[in-house]
Amino acid sequence: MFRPSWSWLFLLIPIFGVAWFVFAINEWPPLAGHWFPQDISAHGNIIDSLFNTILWLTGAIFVGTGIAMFLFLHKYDASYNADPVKYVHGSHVLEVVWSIIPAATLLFIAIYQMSAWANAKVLRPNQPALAEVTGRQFEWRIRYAGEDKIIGTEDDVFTVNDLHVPLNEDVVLAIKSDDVLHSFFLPNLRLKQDVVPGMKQFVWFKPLYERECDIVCAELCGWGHYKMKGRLNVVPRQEFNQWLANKRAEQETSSFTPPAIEEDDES
Amino acid sequence: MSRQNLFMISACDSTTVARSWVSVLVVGLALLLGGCDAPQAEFTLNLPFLHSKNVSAPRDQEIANILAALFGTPDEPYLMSAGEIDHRDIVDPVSLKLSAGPVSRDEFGTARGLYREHCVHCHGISGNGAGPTAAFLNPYPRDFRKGQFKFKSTPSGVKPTHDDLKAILVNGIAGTAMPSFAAALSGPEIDALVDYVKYLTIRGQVERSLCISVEELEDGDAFDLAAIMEEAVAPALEAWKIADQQVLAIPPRPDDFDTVESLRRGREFYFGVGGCVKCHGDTQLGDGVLTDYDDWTKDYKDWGNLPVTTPEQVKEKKQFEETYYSLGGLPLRNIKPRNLRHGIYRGGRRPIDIYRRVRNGIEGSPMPAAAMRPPGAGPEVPGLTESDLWDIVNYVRHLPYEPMSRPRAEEPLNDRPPR
Repeated sequence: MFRPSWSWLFLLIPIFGVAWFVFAINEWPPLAGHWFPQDISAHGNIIDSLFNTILWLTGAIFVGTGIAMFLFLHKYDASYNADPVKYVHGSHVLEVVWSIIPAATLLFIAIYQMSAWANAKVLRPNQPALAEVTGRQFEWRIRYAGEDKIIGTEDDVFTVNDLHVPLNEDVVLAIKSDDVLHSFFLPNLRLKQDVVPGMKQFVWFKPLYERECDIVCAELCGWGHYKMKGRLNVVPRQEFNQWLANKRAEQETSSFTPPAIEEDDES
Repeated sequence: MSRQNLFMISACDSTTVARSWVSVLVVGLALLLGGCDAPQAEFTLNLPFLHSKNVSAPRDQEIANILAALFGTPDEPYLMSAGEIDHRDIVDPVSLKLSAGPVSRDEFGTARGLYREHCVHCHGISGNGAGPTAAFLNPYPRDFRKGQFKFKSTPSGVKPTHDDLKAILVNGIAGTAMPSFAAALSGPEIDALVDYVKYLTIRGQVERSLCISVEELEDGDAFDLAAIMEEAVAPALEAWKIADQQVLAIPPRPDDFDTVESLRRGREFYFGVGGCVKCHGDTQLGDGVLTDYDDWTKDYKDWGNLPVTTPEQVKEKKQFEETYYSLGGLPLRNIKPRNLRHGIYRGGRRPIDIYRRVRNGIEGSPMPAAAMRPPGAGPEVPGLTESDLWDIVNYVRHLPYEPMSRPRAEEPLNDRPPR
């Protein structure tokens, strides 16, 4: 039965919450372009399915909790209940149940995601890092290992905010910070790793599509955090080699002829 | 503002909500009507320079008025042609439109107010290098008004080329707070900002010329506008125009650049004729001279030559400093010679970048141009040749890779044995 009450306002919370996600997932305006960007990595579907699993789980609990809260608020609204408040000690069984169910759920998530975590953070492919990415306020400085595949030698190639990686290959990057906490985030590769000053860490991925996409910082690192943006280019191996060779040649520019000056013709 | 109102409501205890409703409404209305508008953007005077040239009221106001007439305001900047120089050859008027004014987008979606979006918080609305974040940065952001730039392909005393400034916006300056704007801005946007930097530089230099010319004016005399155009504005414009003609040509690097022999010669020049060792130190750690100041800091007073041996002199320096700070000067800081073992190259790491800095010096810093042997002179005349410079460049480029330059290894976090 309908009776006017404040509790209806609280019913809007689960409704709005669900509507928000429905709009975003279906790319409906005004939330078009707010759901996941295109996944171009080999491992991304694992991360996405984990995300979706947890979203469904928490979504169901969110909706259930929202509706339960509404029902109770509605039923016991003071304007329609003249009875005095009764003191209830609580239900031991209920408390045990609502402790065990979340605990079991969390344990399930912990076990369910184990291999995803291991693949993303532990089982590094057995190969040297392609490049070292250094976060600093507010840019990504990138240092390619060069031909000898060792970072820190004279054939290293340096770029700023410009990361090229070969297509269809495992790529390992060493990441570190020059100053403060950053977070190296490749949205299209479902990869994110905090960058901690004084620690050298590794990230790895395998890009499956030729794309140009963003490198962003996902940890508030100062006033310019929002503009700490780089470009990631996934290109075929041959193109990558050519690009790296060009960068190296440019870095070794060792003669300079000033461009010819056009003399003003007064005639 | 509405956020503030919401906060105030939520902060109120529920029982007092009704009572405080009226006051919340009153405060909210007051904010709504009064507005929390940003202060009008205005160019500020170069106070330390005015003070050092003993310019006082009412001359300072006259200078501000003349500058406003010649260059407009931060929202409506413009340049005028002077002498035989067409201002459009130096700064594209479209660039000023894109760069100046408040941050916004025009009806075509083109970004406006680029300078205030990307530059102003460090370089300041007048290009004085003292924006709100400047005090937290080391080194301080560049003050454009002095007209000097460090990293360029032209000799000291000559303006950088358009491409030199553009390279700095594209690559950033490693080791400083200047980031790369390559991903954030398009090519034309970067060109527009480079032009705006030129505009601020020209404006700043004319301001300086006006301050200097005050000394020659009798009390009651007015500034001679025609003379200002001819003697201050025209040279400031022309300096940018002739920069392209003075770019240093660099002979090709000799083929033996990666040999031990070249490194040995470079090392010899470093400790000998080159004189590098004096500032960059015996160990190349940049610890030779640590007490000097750069030209921007010395602009107000040559602090490096200020004697501070007696208590009176120390007190005097303190007074100078306090006046300087009261005029908006940033806390004094020494300029340090570069630590050549870090492998961080502010002006670029390409061999030609380093060659230029060795050959031409770094304008505004104590780094001098190389003492070159006059052309045609025999080996008995002291000085460096171009191939000697290449040896120095090779040596400097090799230093970060010497074993003693290696930093302590980081502790790898997620570095477990590979699978």
